[in-house]
Order: sequence, then structure tokens, then C-alpha cells
Amino acid sequence: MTEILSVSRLTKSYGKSVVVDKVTFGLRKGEILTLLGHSGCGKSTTLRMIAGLELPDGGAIHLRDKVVASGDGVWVPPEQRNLGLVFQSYAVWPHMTVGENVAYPLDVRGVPRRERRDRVTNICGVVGLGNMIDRPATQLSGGQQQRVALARALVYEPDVLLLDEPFSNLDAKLRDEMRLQLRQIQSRLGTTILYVTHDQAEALALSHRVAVMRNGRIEQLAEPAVIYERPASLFVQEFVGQTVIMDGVVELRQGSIATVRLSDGAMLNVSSDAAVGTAVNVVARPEDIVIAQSPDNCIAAEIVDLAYGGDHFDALIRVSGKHVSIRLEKNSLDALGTQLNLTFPVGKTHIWPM
Amino acid sequence: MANVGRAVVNVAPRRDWPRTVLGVLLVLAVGLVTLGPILVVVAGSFEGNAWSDILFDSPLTREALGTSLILALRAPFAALIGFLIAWLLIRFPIPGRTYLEFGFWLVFFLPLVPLTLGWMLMLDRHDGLLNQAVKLLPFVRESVFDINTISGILWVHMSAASVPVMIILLGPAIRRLDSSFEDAARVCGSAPAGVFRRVTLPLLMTAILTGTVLGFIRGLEAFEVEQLLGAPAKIYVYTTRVYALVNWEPPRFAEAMALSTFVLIFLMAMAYLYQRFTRKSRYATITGSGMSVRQMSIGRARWVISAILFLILFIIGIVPMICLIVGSFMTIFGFFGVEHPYTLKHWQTVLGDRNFLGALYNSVVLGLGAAGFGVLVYAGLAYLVVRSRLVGRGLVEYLAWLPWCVPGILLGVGLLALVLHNPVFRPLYGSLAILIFAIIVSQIPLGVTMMKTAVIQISPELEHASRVSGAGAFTTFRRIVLPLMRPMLISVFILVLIAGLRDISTVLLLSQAGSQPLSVLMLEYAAAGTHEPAAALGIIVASIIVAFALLARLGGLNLTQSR
Repeated sequence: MTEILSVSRLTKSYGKSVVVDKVTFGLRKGEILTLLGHSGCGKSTTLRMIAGLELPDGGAIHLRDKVVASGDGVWVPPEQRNLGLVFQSYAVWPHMTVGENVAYPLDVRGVPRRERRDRVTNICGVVGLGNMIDRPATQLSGGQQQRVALARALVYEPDVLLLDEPFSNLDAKLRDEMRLQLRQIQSRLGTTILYVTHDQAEALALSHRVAVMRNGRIEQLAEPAVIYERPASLFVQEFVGQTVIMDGVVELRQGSIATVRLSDGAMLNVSSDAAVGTAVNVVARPEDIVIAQSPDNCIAAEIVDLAYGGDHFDALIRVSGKHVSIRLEKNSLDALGTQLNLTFPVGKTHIWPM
Repeated sequence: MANVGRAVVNVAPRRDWPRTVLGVLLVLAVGLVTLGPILVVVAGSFEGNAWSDILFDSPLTREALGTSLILALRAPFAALIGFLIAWLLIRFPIPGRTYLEFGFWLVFFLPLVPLTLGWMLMLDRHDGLLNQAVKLLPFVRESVFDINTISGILWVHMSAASVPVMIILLGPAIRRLDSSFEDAARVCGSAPAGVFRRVTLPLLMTAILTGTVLGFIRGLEAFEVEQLLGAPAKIYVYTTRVYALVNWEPPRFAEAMALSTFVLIFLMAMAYLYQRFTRKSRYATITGSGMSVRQMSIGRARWVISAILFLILFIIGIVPMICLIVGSFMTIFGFFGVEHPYTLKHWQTVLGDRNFLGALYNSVVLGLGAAGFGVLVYAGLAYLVVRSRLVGRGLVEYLAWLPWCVPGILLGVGLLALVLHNPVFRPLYGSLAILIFAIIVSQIPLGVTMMKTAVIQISPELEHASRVSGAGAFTTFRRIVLPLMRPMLISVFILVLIAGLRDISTVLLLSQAGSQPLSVLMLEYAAAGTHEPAAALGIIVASIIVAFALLARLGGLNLTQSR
């Protein structure tokens, strides 16, 4: 697959704080790549440097094999990069109608009037604004404004569509709906998308690949399933999905199996090559934890609270001094007391040196 | 991540020579326009013995300086009275307060010459209406009032300008004061008078001081009232003295410039004080959340206060305007007993004067030209100052503020000298272009300040979206920024238009027979002593200006920011 956008060792600082630190990745044609991280991790700044709204201090950005920005002072203005950008704040121009907003990029490109009208009508239909073309932009709801912003960024078929937390101002239901629509539009038009979000569920559901960022650096760049199941660091594991983290020390190691003594004295086998004596965090995902049938490799736990969830119960369980919420089948509850044993499957439990 | 809290980051390369070159060019351009005339004046003051003439040889000039200072001392009184009226209007349920506010607002916009004329008809030493009335009283044989005195000048200034200006100026500061400060003082046990003295007044003191300094500066810059009332009685102030020196045969430019330089030093010091006050007052009066302007109840006293305020408005606004209107229709003003007391001939004189149509045309071109070009210049400057990363844009901001404390007459002298002594600019002498230029320069501070607030309110992302969509910087400015600033563009357009129609002191020295605007013609009529036709002309000018002010108000420009 060809890389349409490549970012190498991109760096940006404001005063003394380094916001983006040697970020490197490539974007393949037709894929959705997400930059995921907490606010302040540098993901938006990276996006803005790609868009041409910020100048990098170091590194380079290549678009279609051409340098568009670099630390050596190369800087192609945003209007010459043929990118699309959708902001969290929509940035729909209030003095124009929906149609005028969407037609603007075509207008400044000198597209003839008739073709302009056809393309605007077409793209407004795609994003579901077909009947609102003549509506003033100020009379739209948040979701509709976001659709205008999306149509405006798609209408000129940019090489890459940049989306900066586009749905985080919408309510949860609308957000899910828009996410689904975006995926459909993307597969229909084959648009290449660079997506920025702090919402890990959104990142997993939407992307072909995810880059988890922390303190200006990419911590891991991989497919969503890899990010979730084989995280490269404790940070990634904790940030993406639910976890329970317990601390302990490696007591014994036989081959690829390490035995860890948890802080409350319980012993647990995990698959790891950590040296004996290493202080570690033992991390498991709640959905991997199983209620023990046999007493092997299991830890005593206690149900602290039960919440009725309709088809299931959410049990808050205390294990090794930590709390974790586990989903229990309704009918499995009868056989359980408040005390139970939990099994942490060997292959699905990770340990990270402290 | 939303870029909350980060400074506006504009789409422009950071390390780039265009940034420096454009920045330097901009600084030079703005500096040439605002600092240039001042430098011409300062440099010109060193020709010959101008300085020693002023300081030692010309008692008239020294007297003028003294009189200017005495007259400028009205500022603190005007600030206090204006503050009191504004405070009463805003914080108490005064019956008819909407009308009162509107009335003071109108007086604020009325040009000074018609109001001065009105007072001349009322208080003339010989046949002023009030003097005639007083003479009917027993034991009074002679006139009591004389408008052609320092106190006459003071009265006209206080009533027609200083106090209304302060009401308009201090209103917003009073509205911004959170009334919970006062509530807290009441709860702590202070009586209303104590609250006013110990909480309200101290909190608003910076605003009042700011107003005082501003009033002082404007007082030193005032021209037309002093010219109309003072000159006939040989009372000169700084501005009228400069005017006399320039009109001397041959002109005494160097002396006029030395005198101007001297006053400029004063003004700069005042301007520095003003900046310091405004910086401080930001902390003092703007409070954060939960602001509430609550009205205090004062029972029946509100009717008394209302009556007093209506009386004040009647005296300062309606009395001179009635005199003016009646005067324009009387054969000789004040002589009701003559055979044909009422006549239309003054209106016919004015409307039939060939100069009138020419001046009307000049005023229209001057007003529209200055407003049209000015709006674009101010918007562009404000945008560059707020959004660009050009080198030296802080300096541009300072230079753009400079004309704020430069008297119109000084700007006029500077530009006149520039035009007369420089062959390149010589063709501009006596043209409307130089008048338009002068008005644009004089309104730069107001224009740029207002435009800046408009630019700041536009989210940078609206521009970024345009740039990423494929539009260049200039297209983005033209198609996104300017349309979004439209309400402000209209407001500034009308304010500059009004300034162009009203202004006398800036354009007086620059206008020649062919380029005389209506305001200058009006001054000439009034100064010629033919009060009745001058009154007719004054009514015309005042009506035009009030019409535009009303238009601006309808369009949402409300200087008092009423709720």
C-alpha cells in the first residue's frame, strides 16, 4: 500500500515544553488512522502541523512524496495542501447558507458554477443534508452543523481528511450515529482519514490503525485488536479498555511462566520472562477474569456490591486490595456467596515492571 | 484536544523574511501617517526663534496657555456630575429613564457649533434672550449674563459636551460593577449613603479618574467654542491661538508649532496617565461570574430625581436648540416687537448661497470617503495587530493609538506644513483628498480599537477552515473575516462619517475655498456675526448628524450598552 502522508520525527515546542516529540508515522491511501491520547498529548498539534496551521520545529511532513513542512523552514500554506479539516467547534461560517458553506472550497478553486452545484447537491445528499442546502448555517443543530463541516471538507475530494475530535460536542446517541455514518461514507468514497480523539472506544470502533500518544510521543501504533490485546506498555493497556492493576514481586520463574506474589500474599502465574525479584504491576482485563472452578492459580476475592443490569449483574469485587467490576450472568449468581475465587488466565494477564 | 487557553495561532510562517519585511513596512506606513505630522510640527518649532518668542516675548501666547489650562480644569467636575447622573440613571428606577438616556445620548452627538449658537442667542451681552428677560425685573438695568467670557465658554462646554460625554463614557463602567459588592456592604451594616461613599465610589474611582484625564485631554484640544465665544473678546486658548498664528500675514508657522509642541508634551503625559488608569481599572471593575445590576428602590424620591434630570436635559439640550430654531426664523433674534418679527429669509440666504451646495457636496464626499476608506484601513490594521505574526505589530498598535492625544488643530498644522513645504505633496493642497486623509488619521485610534474587539470575537478556526479549504490569506480576509465583522464595519463607518461631518479643528486649516466642508462654512457664518443664517445652517448640520446617529443606534450601535 502506498503512503499518501508521511510524518517523520515531527517536533514542536511551546517555550520550554515539548508538545510533539519526534512523532513518526505513515498514512496509507484509503485507511482511517487515529491519534488517540489524553488532552495535551500533542495529537491536535500534530494534526494542525499537518494541516499547515502550525509550523514544526523539527522533522518533516511529506504529502504525496512532496515535503510540505519541515524544521528547515519549508512551509507550504494550508490552501495549497489539498487537505480537508473538520474542527470540534464545527467552524461553519455563520454568514453563509449550508450550500454556500459547502460550495466555498469549490468556488475558491474556480470550479464552474454548474459543476459546483451538482457536487454540492451530491455531497449534501451523502452526509444527509439534502433538504437543507438553502438553510442559513445559524439555524442548524450541532449535529447538522457537523455534517455541514464534513460535507465542506469532503466536497473537493481532499487527499487526506483530517478530523479533530469532530463528534465530541455531540450527545452520546448522535455521536454513535455519526461515527457509523462516517465509516459508511469513508468506505463509499474511499477517503483517507486522519482522526484525532481522546475517546478510546471511538478509536477502536472507527480505525484501521490506532496510534496511542503520550507526552508528545507515539507509544504504540497498531491495529485496534493488537492495541487492545497486546498493548506495548502499561499506559496503553490502562488507557484502552478496562483494567484491574495489582502489585507484586516475581517470586519464581520456570520457562516463560513467572509466579508473582501479590501484595496480599496470594500467588499468581503469568506468562512472562521477567527476572525473579522484579517488582511488577499485574494487569488483567475484567472480561478475562473467570470465576474459578478448581482452586489452581486462583485468588480469593469478595463481592462488595451488586448492581442489577437487566440481563446481567455488575459485581464490584475486591481482589488483592483493588476493586474491579465484573459482569456476572444472572443465573450464575445463585451458586455464589460473597466469597469467591478468581482465575486470571495465564496468557491474558500481563505484568509490567514498576 | 481543544486548543483552549492557547494564544491565537495564525496561519503564517514563523521564521520567514516576509514577516520581517512586511512588518517593517507596516510600522513605517503607520508611523509616517500618525507620527509624521507630529514630527513635522516638532521639527518646525525649532525654526528661527519660535521657542523664545513663545516663552518670553508673546504675552498673548502665554495667556492662551494659561486660559487653556484653566478651561481644562472643568474635567474633574464634569466627570463627577456625569458619573452622578449616569449612576442615578442606571441604578435607580427613575421614571422616564429610557427617554433621559436617549436624550443625553442625542446631546452627546449634537455638533458644538449649533449648541454654541443657541447659547449665544440666549446669553448675548446685548440682546440675549435671558438678559432681556432679566432687565424686565425691577432694579436690574444692565445685562447680567455675558457669553463672551471664560465662564461663558465653560458653561457651553460643560452643558454641551463635557457632562454628556461623561454620562456616555461612565455608563458602561457602572453597569459592569457587580451590585453584590454593595449588597454585601448593606448586610454588613452600612446605610445606603455609607455604601455609596465607602464601596461604590472607591470601586468606580479609577473609571472616574480615567474620565477626568480624558476630559482634560479633550479640553486642551477643544477649538470651535473657544473660537466663537473667545476670539471676539480677545480670549485665546492654545488652539485658537495656533489658528490665529497660522492665519497671520505672513503665517507664523514656527511659533504655532512651538506652541503645539509645548502642549503636546502635556498631552503625552496625560495620555500616559490615562493608559495607566485604564490598565488598572480592568481589575477594579470587571468582575467574573454572577454579575447582576440590581436597581435600588428609593420610593418617592425617584420622582424628584426624575424631575431634576429632565430639567437638566431640558436646559442643556432643548433650550439652546429652541433658541436656534426660533432664531433661524426671526428677522432679528430676540426682537419680537418689530414689524415683521418672523421671516424665512435666513433659510433662503443659506440655501441660496452657492457656497452651501459646494460645502454640502464636500461634506458628503469627505464623510463618505473617510468612512469608506477608513473602515477598510482600520479593519486591516486591527486584523494585522490581532492575528498576524508580523514583526513590530506591538509598535503598530502603539502608533495607531497616537492620534488619540493629538489635537485636531495640531494634526492640521502638521499636514498643512507637509503639503506646503513638500513639492511631492503640493498638489494635495486644498484638495478634498487631504481632508479625507486627515479625518482617517484622526479616527485611527477609535476605528482600530473597535475593529480589534470585532476581530477578537471571530474564532480563528473559522479562518483556518477557509485556509484548509483552499482559500489564500487575502481571500479568507475578504470572504470570511470582513463579512463576519459587518456589524462593526457599519458602526465604525457611521461613527467616522459623523466625525467627518462634525469635525472642524482638523480640517479647518487644510480646507481652501473649493474644499470647504459644511462644518467649516457653519463656523464661518457663526464667526461672521450673522447669527440668524448661521442658526439655519446649524440646524441643517445638526439634523444630518443626528439622523446618522439615529441610524447607527437603530443598527445596534449603542454606546451606553443598555442591557
